[in-house]
Amino acid sequence: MKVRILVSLKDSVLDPQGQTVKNALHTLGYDSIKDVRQGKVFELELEGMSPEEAERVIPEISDKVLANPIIEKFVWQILEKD
Amino acid sequence: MKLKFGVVIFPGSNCDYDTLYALKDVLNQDAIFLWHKEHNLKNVDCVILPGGFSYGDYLRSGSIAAFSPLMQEVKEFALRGGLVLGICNGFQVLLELGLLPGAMLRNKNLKFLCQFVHLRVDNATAPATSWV
Repeated sequence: MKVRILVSLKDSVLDPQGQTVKNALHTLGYDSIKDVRQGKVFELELEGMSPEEAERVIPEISDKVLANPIIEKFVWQILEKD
Repeated sequence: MKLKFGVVIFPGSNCDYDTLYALKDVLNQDAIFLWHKEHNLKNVDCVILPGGFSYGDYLRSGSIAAFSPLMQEVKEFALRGGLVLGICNGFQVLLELGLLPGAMLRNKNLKFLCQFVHLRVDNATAPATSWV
């Protein structure tokens, strides 16, 4: 099974990297881009794990390792089933 | 009285030798290096996490180092009242380890900031601040 986890700053946290990318896009003339938020993507390949187990394990490792829950949030999805 | 200090080395630490030099040759204290994979603090009185770029700042600054075997010992040591000091990246490790509250954010602007700031001593009874 393959899962994708997206980690990004919480909406309440200012994202200077995203702002800087947005400013660069404006410089190039893409004025209709109103906001940019930058994040990280993790793609995990799981072996011998049931979808039920993934429901438990993926949020656990996201909270513990992949994201810092003080400032970041995460969403995840299954890309490929076994 | 001499204290025995332990300076922790992670892959990517780069102020480890400066710290050991300052402790031994400037402050005339006992000091040893502690490798991040060890499970034993070797009876040090104080653990120092030096600056640098542990694990190349991968994932988040200090995060991978916080999961190392030695840091689990450091956590227990601190919770028993042991002395722990984190400098720069070492401070970030202490945040990721949960020994200190909060998290660090990027600068709001694109400037590198290096300036004198006012420090307020909130607790003047701690071993590191009692002389203030």
